[in-house]
Order: sequence, then structure tokens, then C-alpha cells
Amino acid sequence: MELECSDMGTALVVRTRERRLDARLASEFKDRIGQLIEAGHRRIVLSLAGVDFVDSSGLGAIVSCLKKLGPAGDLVICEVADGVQQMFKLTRMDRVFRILPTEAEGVAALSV
Amino acid sequence: MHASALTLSIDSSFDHVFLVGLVVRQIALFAGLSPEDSSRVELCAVEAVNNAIQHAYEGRPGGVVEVHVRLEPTALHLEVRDRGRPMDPQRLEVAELPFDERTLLDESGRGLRILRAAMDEVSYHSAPAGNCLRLSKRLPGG
Repeated sequence: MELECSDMGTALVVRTRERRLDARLASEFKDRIGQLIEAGHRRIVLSLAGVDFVDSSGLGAIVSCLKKLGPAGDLVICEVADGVQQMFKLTRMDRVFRILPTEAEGVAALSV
Repeated sequence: MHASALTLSIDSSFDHVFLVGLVVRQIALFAGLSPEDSSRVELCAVEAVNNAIQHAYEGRPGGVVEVHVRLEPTALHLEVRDRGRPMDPQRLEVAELPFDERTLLDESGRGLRILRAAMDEVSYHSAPAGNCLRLSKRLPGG
């Protein structure tokens, strides 16, 4: 899967070029983000721009990343499409993740 | 509108599941469901097929998963059929539990609960010829 990362100093912005974060890619996604966390990135802005579908496996992979970051780390999700937002709401994950409209707001939230 | 039906058939690989989702979403939109409900029906179709691949075929390709879609004037019905290992029906009962604080950070186990939360009817039947997970969504005015 294609991931694009931008180190903004206070946070790492991670974007995926995939349109669907699903069971096909969940394991690889989890491993790739896990590697970034192990490399020392503890504040991550996950941009879901262009992602129009997330299933429970994709959601589980994002939860796994959040847990791997631990209490010292932080994860913000941004640029979430309406259909994906619905999925977060249905599973109550909108209560677990900080979801912000734009990347800039995500970076700002992790800069304080 | 008379009842219409089609059957989709894929190999038991996660690589093909998105195709089922795309087709089911278009049918749901055509049937008059809102974009939000159509997204949920697409999600449920994907979760049901993923469940068959993961549990009936233990994630291995080489098995067959069929999705029978039936559009009636009052409801959209999906049947996900496999010929793999039967699911413990208790898993569907556990799936009736709501999404709450105890399970929010679980990394798996949401699939069947999504079906329970988003569809109007969910049932599972296992027979020697195969297993069948049935999902129904009432249509507006149905």
C-alpha cells in the first residue's frame, strides 16, 4: 500500500493513496504505521483524504496504532469522508479518536 | 416493482471483497436508500463476506463465497453463502451487545456487531450443503 509521510516537526502527517482501508490492507497498514511509531514518531496525524471506505478490519488497524502509541503518544484523524465518518459513528469510534476536518487543524492540535 | 435477484460469486480472498461492496452499494442506492444507509449496507455486505472468508475458510483463498442479492418492493435482502466451517451461532448472539466502553479499544470483533447495528434483520443458518448469513434492510416506505 502507498503511504506518504510529511514530518511537520511536532507531528508526522501520514496519508494513504488507497481508496479503501479494508481487510485486504489492514495488516500491512498496521505494520507500516507500527514501524513509524517504532522509529520514534509519537504524534501522528492520519489523513484519510481520498479514502471512501473503512471496514472493521481497517478500523481495528487504526485502533492498534492508537494503542501502540501509548499514553505518551497521540493520534489525530483528519479529512474523513462522510461515509467513513458514518462508520466511526456507528461503531462509536468517534468517541475514541480525535477527528478534525483538515490536516492543518490536526497538526495544530498536536502542537500544543 | 417486482422482486429481482442476482448472485455474485468470489474466491475466498480479501482481494475481491470490495467488488461485492461496490455492487451492493449501487443496488441499495437504486432501491431508494439514502447515501448514508447505502454506505451502511455496503459495509454490512463487506463485513459478512469478510466473516465468511476469515472464519469459514480461515482466511485462505480457494473457497467460494456467494452473495445472493434480492431486491423486493419493501426490502433489500442479502444472503452470504459459503461451504466452509460453520460459525458458532453464539457469536451472533454475543454480537447483540452494544458498542460500549468495554469493547471500544478491541482490535477485532466488530464485524457481526456492525451487522446487528445497521441491518433490520440478521440470521444465520448452517446445513450440510453450506452456511448462510441472511441480512435484510427495509426500504423507505416499505
